[in-house]
Amino acid sequence: MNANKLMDAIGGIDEKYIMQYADEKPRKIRRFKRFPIPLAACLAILLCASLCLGSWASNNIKPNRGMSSYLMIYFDFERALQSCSDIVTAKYVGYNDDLTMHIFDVTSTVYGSADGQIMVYLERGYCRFKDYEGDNFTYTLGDLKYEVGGEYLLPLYKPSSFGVYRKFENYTLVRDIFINVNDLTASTMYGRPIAEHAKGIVFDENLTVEALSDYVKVFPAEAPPRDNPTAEYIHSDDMKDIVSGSPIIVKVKVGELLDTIDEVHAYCDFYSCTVTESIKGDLKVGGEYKVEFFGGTVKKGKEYIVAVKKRCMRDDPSVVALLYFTSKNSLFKVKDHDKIVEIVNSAE
Amino acid sequence: MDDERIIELFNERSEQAIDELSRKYGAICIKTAENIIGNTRDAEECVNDAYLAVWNKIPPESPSSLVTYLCRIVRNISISRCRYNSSRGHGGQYDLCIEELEACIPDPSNAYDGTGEKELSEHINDVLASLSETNRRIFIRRFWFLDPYDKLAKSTGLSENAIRTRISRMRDQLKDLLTERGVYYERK
Repeated sequence: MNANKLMDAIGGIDEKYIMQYADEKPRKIRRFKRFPIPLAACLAILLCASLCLGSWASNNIKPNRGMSSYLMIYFDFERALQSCSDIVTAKYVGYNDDLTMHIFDVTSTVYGSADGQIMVYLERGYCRFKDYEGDNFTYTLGDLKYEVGGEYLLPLYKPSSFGVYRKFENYTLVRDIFINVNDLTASTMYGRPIAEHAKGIVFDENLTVEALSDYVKVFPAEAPPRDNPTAEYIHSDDMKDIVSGSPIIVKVKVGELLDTIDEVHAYCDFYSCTVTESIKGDLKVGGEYKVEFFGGTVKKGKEYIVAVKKRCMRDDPSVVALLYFTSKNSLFKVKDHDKIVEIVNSAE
Repeated sequence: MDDERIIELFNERSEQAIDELSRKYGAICIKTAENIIGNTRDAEECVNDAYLAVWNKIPPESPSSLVTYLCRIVRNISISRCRYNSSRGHGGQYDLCIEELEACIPDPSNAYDGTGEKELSEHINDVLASLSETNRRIFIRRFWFLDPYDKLAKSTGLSENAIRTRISRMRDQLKDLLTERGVYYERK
């Protein structure tokens, strides 16, 4: 007899044992029988921490929303670069839990003005092309495996509008171009080797990041001029700019907290507010409105001056659904009242 | 879908049978094969081979327990693959389990080899029947499903050291019983 024979014989044991233990699941371990309350408190703290950090957590989180199908116009690598507003190299920081919003720290700006910490939006879905000359294929849009700390070259497009409440500058990745600066030969576009789509450059061992950067920045620079992205908000912290550029300036008393958004990309509180003074615009004193503030910046019962825009109901434009900030610095203290009125009056 | 219906589908020679089998027991099969081989790609191949084997065996066979029947086939195919891989030094958990079982056989090359596999299985059944519920679970998960120690520790709530100690004792128990019954003895 040898061990192999013994192993084979174990394979022939009574099937009741195999059935009994076939589907093994981890057993709950209860080691702390004497102090259930402190244990529960520890678990609660851990749970809260994991909820707070959840959206930045490990790479094992799977996308949790349904995926759409797209029919896309085919661009090769060079044509795709023409549509870039910015090209950067950046280190990967993390993502939100549906893998659409990815945060990067820009390490160098190759083209454009993107800098600091940025958010890159990746649409998720199944994609195919309507005019691709090669063998048509379907690929999974946005299925890119960024590694935390890894450095990537990102061809980006700045959307025409972006919300004031976003924590980061917001960009869209152009055509799923995935370039790891530490492994240029593994670069992909549309989920396939980039060589299938690049006409004028070879992604081989001899290619350097510097040479690639010099190559890619030519295309957006030579592209036909396009409309500059229109900022949805005033990029200034100067009171004069903000007051002059805002259609509505009102003093409000903060009422009930209606809602909070606390996500990777934004943290906002929605309060019901009553207008106590109208400094600029057509809002009536005594009117109640839902106002969106940056999270944790105001207190219930207190008065503030806000520079805002209206967002009206789509089916009834006479109804104001929300007042939202005209800049990241549109919240003023009541003591600034006279300065603000002076700016408004001088402009009229 | 219940097992009886899946077996009916095999009898009807419907290819849906393999889909249903895979849907219901694919995860167990892959886990079992992976434990034995330690390589996902080979494990998947073994499981596919097992599905094909089931397709060829049913009919005429009609197993009373489909999951056990399937797992046995997966185990046998995976072990065969592992023995082939082991000769090239890529054995996974299988090599470790064999080493542990060899420890029950002081001089394997000279040990008595006259017992049939079925008879040997009966002796092992007797040992299993004498074990506590927890020890039986550990023995079967270790030597039938070839679970690694960290997984055994998770599934039982015991430490890895405790598992090793228990397995060592069970091996001694098996050795004593086989020796007592004259199945296997040490040459002096």
